[in-house]
Amino acid sequence: MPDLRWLAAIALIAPGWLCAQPYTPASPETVLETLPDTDPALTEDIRQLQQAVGRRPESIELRTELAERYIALARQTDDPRYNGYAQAAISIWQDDPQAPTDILLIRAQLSQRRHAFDLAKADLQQVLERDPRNPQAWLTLSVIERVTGQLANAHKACAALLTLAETLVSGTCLADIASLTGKASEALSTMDRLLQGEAAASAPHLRRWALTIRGEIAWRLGQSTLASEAFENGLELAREADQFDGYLLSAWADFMLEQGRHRAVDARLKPYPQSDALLLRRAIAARHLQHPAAGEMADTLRRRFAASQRRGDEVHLREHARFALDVDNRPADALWLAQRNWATQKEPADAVLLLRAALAVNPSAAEPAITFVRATGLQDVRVERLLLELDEALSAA
Amino acid sequence: MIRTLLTVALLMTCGQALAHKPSDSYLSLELSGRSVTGQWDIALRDLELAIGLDADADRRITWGEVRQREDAITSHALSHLQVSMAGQTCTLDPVDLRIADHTDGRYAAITLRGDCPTYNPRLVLRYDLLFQRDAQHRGLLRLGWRGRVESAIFSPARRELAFDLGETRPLRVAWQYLLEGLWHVWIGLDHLLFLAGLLLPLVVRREAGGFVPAPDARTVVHEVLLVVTSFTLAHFAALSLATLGLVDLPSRWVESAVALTIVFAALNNLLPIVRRRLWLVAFGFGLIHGAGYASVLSDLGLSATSLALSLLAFNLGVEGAQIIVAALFLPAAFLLRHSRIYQYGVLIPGSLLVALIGMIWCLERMTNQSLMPW
Repeated sequence: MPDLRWLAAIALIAPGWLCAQPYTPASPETVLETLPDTDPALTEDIRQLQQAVGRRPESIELRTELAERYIALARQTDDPRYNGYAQAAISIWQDDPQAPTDILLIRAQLSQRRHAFDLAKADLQQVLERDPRNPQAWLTLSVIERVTGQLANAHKACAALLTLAETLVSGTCLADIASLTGKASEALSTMDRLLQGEAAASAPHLRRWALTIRGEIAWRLGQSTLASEAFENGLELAREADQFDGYLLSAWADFMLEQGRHRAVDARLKPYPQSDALLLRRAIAARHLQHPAAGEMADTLRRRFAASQRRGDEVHLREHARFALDVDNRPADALWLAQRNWATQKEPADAVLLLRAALAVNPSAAEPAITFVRATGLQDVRVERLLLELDEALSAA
Repeated sequence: MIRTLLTVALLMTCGQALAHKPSDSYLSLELSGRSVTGQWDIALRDLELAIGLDADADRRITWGEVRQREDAITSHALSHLQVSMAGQTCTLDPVDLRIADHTDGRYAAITLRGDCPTYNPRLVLRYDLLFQRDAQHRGLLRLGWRGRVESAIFSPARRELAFDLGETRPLRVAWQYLLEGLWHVWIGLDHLLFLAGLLLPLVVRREAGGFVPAPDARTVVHEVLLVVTSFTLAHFAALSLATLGLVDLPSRWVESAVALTIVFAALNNLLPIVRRRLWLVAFGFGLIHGAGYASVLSDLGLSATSLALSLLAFNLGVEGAQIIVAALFLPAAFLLRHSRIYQYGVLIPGSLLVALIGMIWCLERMTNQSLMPW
């Protein structure tokens, strides 16, 4: 029999194109799509602004406002399409570094959201050159530096906020970075102080953010009761304000999964099947619970990750790796994805992911994360446990 | 400060994979000569943004509302897509509008058909659907022609994509198949043995009571080409029919039959049954051999056109290899055809050996047992 492997290779090169089979719906009344439930006032604002921009396309104010409205809509509906609309509203400045400051700030946020961290940083640095006292630029910059593992730069950006933003914002920013660089206990007491003090007067969503950070720090220190309390308080604030907080829900769910509280995760995340991140956590819980819908959740996620990969997005690398590792049972793929994710993102969750995937496939692949964790002095009970396991695996080998 | 507040809220969702994915359209085009066919799936959400579909403003889009706007949908879409060959714009018309389901919702699926003024391999596609309203919209293209498939992505920064349809890659693919055909003969003992069985007697024929050497080289070459080519043609025909699924024979019996043909060819050299028109025998055997390989090729999911090209190249390779083998073997055999060494030292024992191996094979294949070490 001839070696036909290369023939198979050709068949594989032809890309997996999921060209959906078209059909004709049964009746004219068939509802095909439900448009997102948006605030009618906001929608009307946008309509008017869009028309105004049409009349005065050169107006910076109108375009800024329009973009900000779309960003608000993106937050409200949790739908990334609106980020694209916002970007289009300011696209006449394209990559222009001389764009007005407000435009640069919006562009940086949008870049950050699609993980174009370098573009975002360049825009923020441009803003700070013009206006070194711009709090938003410093805050966004601190988040990007933190996500990408540039913790010294992140600290600098947070410190700049001390005189520019309220104490809860600068304090939380600084405590968060401190907790990642070997001063977790101090950071936890700072967070306690901040939340007890003048924070009562701060806006609820700021307190929610601070509570999330506090929960994460407590969890990394192994203080489960404190962590649970902080997450629950944060979720309570979100409920009161009737606001969706995907980041907090994910953090809470990860914490609960770690505690083996799969049932609680399944129940609380059930209302958010649209969110890939939350569906992923629920699918992990469902798998442990041997939930009858576990397979269906996995299929949905697999299709969504495939669709996202096809358009060349890298926003999902972390979730995709986690999916491959914890739901789809493809540890080798998980390691590859975790490595690619590690190339840009270096938060504790990213380190945990790389360490776990490496442990499952090839312990020596954990090296970059180990080096990073040792260099920064990260304190995280999960990481410490994984490092021990990796040590054993490596010495056994 | 208000802005800072806003930002913190935004940062909270950073890095989270969001509910729906950003906007994509799926454009699949197939080119054949100067005609274009295709399907273009555009999200109803996006069409609502671009031209408005929700006539009764109840935030729900029904099939009736889509149908009502069919013309607006297709003309909006097609005004944002241009296909051209060497600068000459091709026509592109909607044939049909239906619905397709994708991971993030329902899409309008437009079937397209068009023609280019003249065929030219320099194809240019221009796409600017939605970019004006949504900077993160992407057009995901799948382009197929002559069995080749290429995919690419349109973005606001890349609204134009150029393809060279005459690019060498299909030829490279064909070349690969050609080499595979050569290799197929070279490593396939089946082929070599069968070939040996057919070639051995071409220089000297066994007649009742003795050997008759071929009169001249011309006759031999002629006979060899006839035998080898008719074998290849039949092989090609059978392989094509089976690969395309038009004929489907159980492989165990086909493989056994292949072995039987080897036995027959060898025995025919010793006790001639067929003396003239050996090429007819070769043709019949080629049919059987070709059917034996089809199952492997048909599992690969290649498109029909790429299969046809591949099959042709593969069989040209088979033919080439057989001619090479014949060219290596025949000159010496031709020179030795009068000698008893060839007649009794090569032709008879060689045919016996081939017949023996063929018989063992036949038994193996019929019983599914392994009797020989290979």
